[in-house]
Amino acid sequence: MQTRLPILHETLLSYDIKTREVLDINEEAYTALSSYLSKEDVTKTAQPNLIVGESGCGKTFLMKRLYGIVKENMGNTLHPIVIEGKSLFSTDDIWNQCALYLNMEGGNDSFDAILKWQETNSRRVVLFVDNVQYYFERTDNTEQYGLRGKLNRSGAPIIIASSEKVLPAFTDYDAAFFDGFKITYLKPLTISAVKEIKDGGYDINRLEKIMAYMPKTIRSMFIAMGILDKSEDSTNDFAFLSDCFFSHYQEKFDVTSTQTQRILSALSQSDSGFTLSEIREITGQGNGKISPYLKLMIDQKLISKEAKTSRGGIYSIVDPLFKLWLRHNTVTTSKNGD
Amino acid sequence: MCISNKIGPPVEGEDFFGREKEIRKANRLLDSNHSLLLSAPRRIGKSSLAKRLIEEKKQQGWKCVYIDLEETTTEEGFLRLVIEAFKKNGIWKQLTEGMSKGLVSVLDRIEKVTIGGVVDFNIGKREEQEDLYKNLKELIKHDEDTFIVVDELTLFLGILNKSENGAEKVAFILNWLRSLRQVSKTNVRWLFCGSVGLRNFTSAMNLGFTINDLMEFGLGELSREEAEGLLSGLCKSEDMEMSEELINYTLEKLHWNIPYFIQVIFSKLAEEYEDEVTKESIDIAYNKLCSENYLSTWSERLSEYREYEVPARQMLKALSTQSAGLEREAMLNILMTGQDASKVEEVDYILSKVLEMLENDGYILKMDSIRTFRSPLLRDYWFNKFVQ
Repeated sequence: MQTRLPILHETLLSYDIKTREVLDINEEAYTALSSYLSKEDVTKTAQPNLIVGESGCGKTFLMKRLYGIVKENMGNTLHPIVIEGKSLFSTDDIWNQCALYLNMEGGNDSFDAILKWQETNSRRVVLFVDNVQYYFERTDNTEQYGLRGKLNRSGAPIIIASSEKVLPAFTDYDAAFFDGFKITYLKPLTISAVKEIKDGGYDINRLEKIMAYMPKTIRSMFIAMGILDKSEDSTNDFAFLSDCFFSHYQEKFDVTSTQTQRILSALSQSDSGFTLSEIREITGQGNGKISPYLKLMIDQKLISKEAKTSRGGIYSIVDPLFKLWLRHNTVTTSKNGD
Repeated sequence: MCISNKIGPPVEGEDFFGREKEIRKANRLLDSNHSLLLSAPRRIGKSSLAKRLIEEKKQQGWKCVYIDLEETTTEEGFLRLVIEAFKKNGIWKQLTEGMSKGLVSVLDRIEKVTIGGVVDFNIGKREEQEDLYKNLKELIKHDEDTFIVVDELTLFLGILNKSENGAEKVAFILNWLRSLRQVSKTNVRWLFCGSVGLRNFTSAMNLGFTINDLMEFGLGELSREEAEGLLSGLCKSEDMEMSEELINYTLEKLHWNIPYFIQVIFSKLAEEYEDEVTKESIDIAYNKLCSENYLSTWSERLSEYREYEVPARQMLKALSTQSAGLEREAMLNILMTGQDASKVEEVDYILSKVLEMLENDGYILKMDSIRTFRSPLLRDYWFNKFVQ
C-alpha cells in the first residue's frame, strides 16, 4: 500500500490540477462564478463574491476549480492568487501577501504596487481567500472599511472568498460589508448525488460506511473511492482505510505516555465507550492510576466524557478514524472496524 | 446597452441606470454654485450617483475628484488622500514666481507625497497645523470649474472623534472644509456623501454651522419607468425574456424599487432561469431570497434591545403587514393598545426610542412621515415568520 494521506481537509494552497477534473459537484456555482470572471470588465469596480457552506461541502474544491480555470483559460486578462484566511490578521496582510505572490516586497504601499503590477502586466488580480471568516473575526469594522474602500476602486483586484457561515460582518447594518458580497450558498455534500460516484458504479453503501469515519469532505470522498478501487470486498475496506492514515496515527499514538496508550487501547474496543470502572477493569490498573490521565486526554481532545448516566460518566475516543486505527493496530482480536 | 449585474459595489459607466431626475437636480444646483450633502440609507446608490455626476461633469470639462475616506482613520491619512487626489486631478496650483516661501515648501512636500515618499506634515503643533491647512487652501485653484466628491466623511470623522483630541481634530477639519467653500468667487463645488447623517453628527458636536451652507440632496427609489428600464436592461444583458407584465409583477413584489433590490432579485432569477420567466419563477426566486438564513440574524439581533425588544418586535410585526408603511400615530396606537391612557407620554417616549434604534440599525426607514421596512425581503421574511 502506497497511499499515505493524513490530510482530510483540502487547503486552497495545495492546488492539484489533477483533482480538479475528477468531480463536478457544485456545478451551478462553478458555472456562475467562472462566467462572471470571464465577463468582468477589467477597468470597473468588481463584484465581491462570497461562497458560504458548512465544512466539507466543497468550498475549497470549488475555489480550486475556479483558480484552475482562471490560470489556464483567462490568463491573458486575469491573474489568480490564493490566500489562506487563517494567515490574515489585518487588511494590510491581504495586500502584503498578494504583493509577495507577485514577487514584490510587502510594505505600506503594497496595494499601489499591486495596481502598478496590474497596469504593467495588463492583467487583473483575482484574490481567492479561503476561510475568510478568520479575517473578519480578527479585524474591526474600521479595518474592514479600509478593505472595502480599496476593493471598490475601479480596476482593483477581484475578491472571491469562502466562509463556513454568514457572519455579522456581512449582515450588520453598520458593518463595512453589509450586503456587500454576492453570496453563493453551497449545499452539504451528499455522496449519492455525486455524478462520478453514480457513473463509476461505486457501492454507495460501502462508500457511506467508509465515509462515516471521516469528515464529509471531497478529499475524504477521494480516499473512499480509492479504497473501493483497490479493495475487492467490504471485509478489507477498513483495513485499507486504516492503512491510509497509518503513519499519521502511529505518530499520534507514539507521542503519548504508556498509560495513555493503555487507555486508548482499552477504549478502542468499545463502540459506545467505557466508564472509569470498566477502564480500570480492562486495563487492570488500580485507583488513582487512570483518572489523572483521563482528564489530560480530555484536555488534549483525544477522548470525550459524556454526561453521567446510571453507569457513571462514559469515556470514548473522539476521532472515529483513530479508534479504527487503534482497533487495527493495538487490538489483536479485532479484524474489522465496524 | 449591456448592464452587468453588480450587487454591492458602486457601479459605473453603462452599468449605471436611471436617476435622471436626481442628476438633473444635482447638475442644476452644482451649476448654480451650490455644494451638496447627500445622506441616504445604505445600498441606495449614493456612491454610484456621485461617480455618475463625476462622469457628467468631466464631459462638461470640469476637473473632478473622488475621495473615499473609508480608507483612512487618521488626520495624516486624510491629508495624504486629499493631497494625492488633488495632485492627480490637477487641483493644485503650479509653482510660480513670487509665491511665498510657505507655499513653495508645501508644494515641495506635496510633490514628495505623490511620488510615494513619507512626509511629516508637522501637524503635531497647532500653529504648524494651521499654517499647513492655510497654505493648502491657498494652493487650490479656485478659478476653474471643479467638482470634489468626498465619500464617507461622517464615517471618517466618527473614527477620528474617538482618537486623542478627536473632537478638536474633527472641528478643525470641518472648519477647514467650510473655509474652502467660502473662498470668494470660488468655482469649486463639493458633494459630501454618507449613510450616517452628517447633520446629526455635526449637530451632536455643536458643529452644525460648519455645514449649514450645504444643500441637502435626497435619494429615494427609482421612478417606475427607471425601475422597469433597469430590470429590462439586466434581462437583455443575460438574454433573458421577461414581459412587461412580469417586470411589473416583480417590481410590485419589491414595492421599494431601489437598484440594489432589483439587482438582488434579478440575480436569483438569472440563477434559476431555464427557458422563460414566469410568475411562479418570480415567486420562487423571491421566496428563496426571503428565506435565506442570514435574515434570521435580524431577529436574533433584537435581543440586544433589552427592554425595548418587545415594543420593537410589535412595531416590526405591524410594519410587516403594511407594505406601504405606517404613520407614527398609528404606531403609537398599537403600543397603547390595552394600556392605561395615562401612560401615553411614557409609551410615546418608548416609541421614539424604538424607532430611532430601528432606523439606526437599518430595519426601517422614514420617508416623509411614513415608516416602512428598509428591505422588502426583510419585511416579507418578518411577515412569513412572525405574522402568517
